[in-house]
Amino acid sequence: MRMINRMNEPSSGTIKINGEDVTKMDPVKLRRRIGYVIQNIGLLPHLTIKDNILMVPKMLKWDQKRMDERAVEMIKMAELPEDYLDRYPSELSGGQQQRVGVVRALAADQELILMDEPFGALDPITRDALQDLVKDLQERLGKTFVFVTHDMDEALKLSTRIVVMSHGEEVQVDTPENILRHPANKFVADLIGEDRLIQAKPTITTVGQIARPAVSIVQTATLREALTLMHRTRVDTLLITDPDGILRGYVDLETINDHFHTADRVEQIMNPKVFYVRQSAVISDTVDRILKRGYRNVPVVDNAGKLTGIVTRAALVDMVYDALGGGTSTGSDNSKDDDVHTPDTDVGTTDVKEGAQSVEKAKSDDKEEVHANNG
Amino acid sequence: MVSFLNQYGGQLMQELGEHIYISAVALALGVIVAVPLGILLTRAKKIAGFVIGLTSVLQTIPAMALLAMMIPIFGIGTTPAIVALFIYSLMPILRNTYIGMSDVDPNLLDAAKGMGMSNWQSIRWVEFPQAAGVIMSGIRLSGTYVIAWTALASYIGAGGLGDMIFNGLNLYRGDLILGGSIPAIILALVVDWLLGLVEKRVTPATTQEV
Repeated sequence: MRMINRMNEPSSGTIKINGEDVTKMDPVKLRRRIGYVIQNIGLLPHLTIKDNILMVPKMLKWDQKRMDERAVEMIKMAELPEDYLDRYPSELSGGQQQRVGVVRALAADQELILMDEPFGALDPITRDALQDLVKDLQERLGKTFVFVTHDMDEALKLSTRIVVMSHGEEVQVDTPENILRHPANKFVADLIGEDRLIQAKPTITTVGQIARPAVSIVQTATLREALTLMHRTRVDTLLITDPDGILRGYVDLETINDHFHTADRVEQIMNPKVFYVRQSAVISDTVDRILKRGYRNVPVVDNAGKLTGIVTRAALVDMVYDALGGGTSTGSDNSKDDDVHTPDTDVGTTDVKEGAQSVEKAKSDDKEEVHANNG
Repeated sequence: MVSFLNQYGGQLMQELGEHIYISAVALALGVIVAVPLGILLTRAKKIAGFVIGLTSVLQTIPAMALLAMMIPIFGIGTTPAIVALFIYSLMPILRNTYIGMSDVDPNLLDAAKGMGMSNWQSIRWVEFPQAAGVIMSGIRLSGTYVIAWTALASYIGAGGLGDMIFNGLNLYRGDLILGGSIPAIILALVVDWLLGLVEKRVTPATTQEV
């Protein structure tokens, strides 16, 4: 990995970024285009968090106003309070420092981010939170991350492609799904571990498979049109797309109500910060994040960012129920459960919330089940 | 005391002035040469040991001998004294600069380089601020040495408070010896204190000031 940003020089072969050979580029300029996160964080202790975040923009000589705005944007991205900008790294916990380490690597809009075992030194809970952060950022910003880890769970959770390396050789290059299904040899199978193989075998569902049609409207529509659509489809939130069907944001009933007389098109009042998942994402990796963030429903997009559906909490409940039904009792439960899908659960209702609670309960049951199997 | 000051006050002030002048110039030269040299040596580690060893050797030459050695080259007076004291001031500053710069956490250097800092930016934004406190304590150490040794420099006609002390020794006059050495001691303490303040100043904050 350190060869990509030329911290080490390759002894043979070539590395190309967007078709350009890295060994032909000026290493200093190259590194400024590549985010770099290391296990030991490496924040400069004598600089404030703000100055640390702005290190690369400063090297690229951004103007001060742009840098100030960027710092605020980045600290929000790290999910830290804004007044942390004036603090020094030693005043933050290890997990918080690495959050800053991660957004520092994004501050100058780097196209590629290298992460060298970034969470290896963190406790499991913090590590989990940071993994969620990185996964969210990766999906939201659509950047390429090269992530080195020894933790197979981490690799399976975060990646879209995994390269399994052993003694400097590539053993297998594939999607997490395929690696779980078809480990190339015993080494990979051992690395994944018996438990994960068993867990992975029965059903690997992608988000696309459980998504339902979403209620959406183009961004140029008027508020009245939006309201009519909401009324007709009985939803309180509309997803907004551009004419090509690319997801742009969302608008809820309250916002429409507040602005009904001051705005006329939905694009003027829509909230562009929408959390979404890709349809190719593996469900088991996504469920946690959806539940943790407390969203009632999450739009699903394809690789081009085009809206293809929506995952509701109710659908997640069904999914977990299916999975457990398949594992603990007879298969007839599955077919029965399929009929439970109700068409009008696009919007969270109290039913769905109760559903969410039972999902968490169902999950802990699941864990016990696994332990019991091990025993 | 009062009569001593009445009689020698003018002379004392003049010699104190000379003393400060000689020490300050020698120390300033030492800083100007040793700090950049120390930084440079961190980029040329192969010769670093040799150069630092050389300054240590210079340090071991007895002060009187070094001062005496200057006479054939520079004659007598202020210039040879400044050159000799400058040579003495080099070692602590050079060594502290080199150690301070070398002791910077390698993870920081790795992160700095990985972010795309040039060699010079890494020195200016990472290594030098990190090492500033250590470098300054080397300067402080040199400062007090130089002030003490400047007293000897009057032997080669450089002037300074040493004049009064040596007069006292020659004439068996305790009051002159004390009259010269007490201001020299006070001067050393004051300079040490002042440089200590500077040291604190340049050691970068790592927590918010409340």
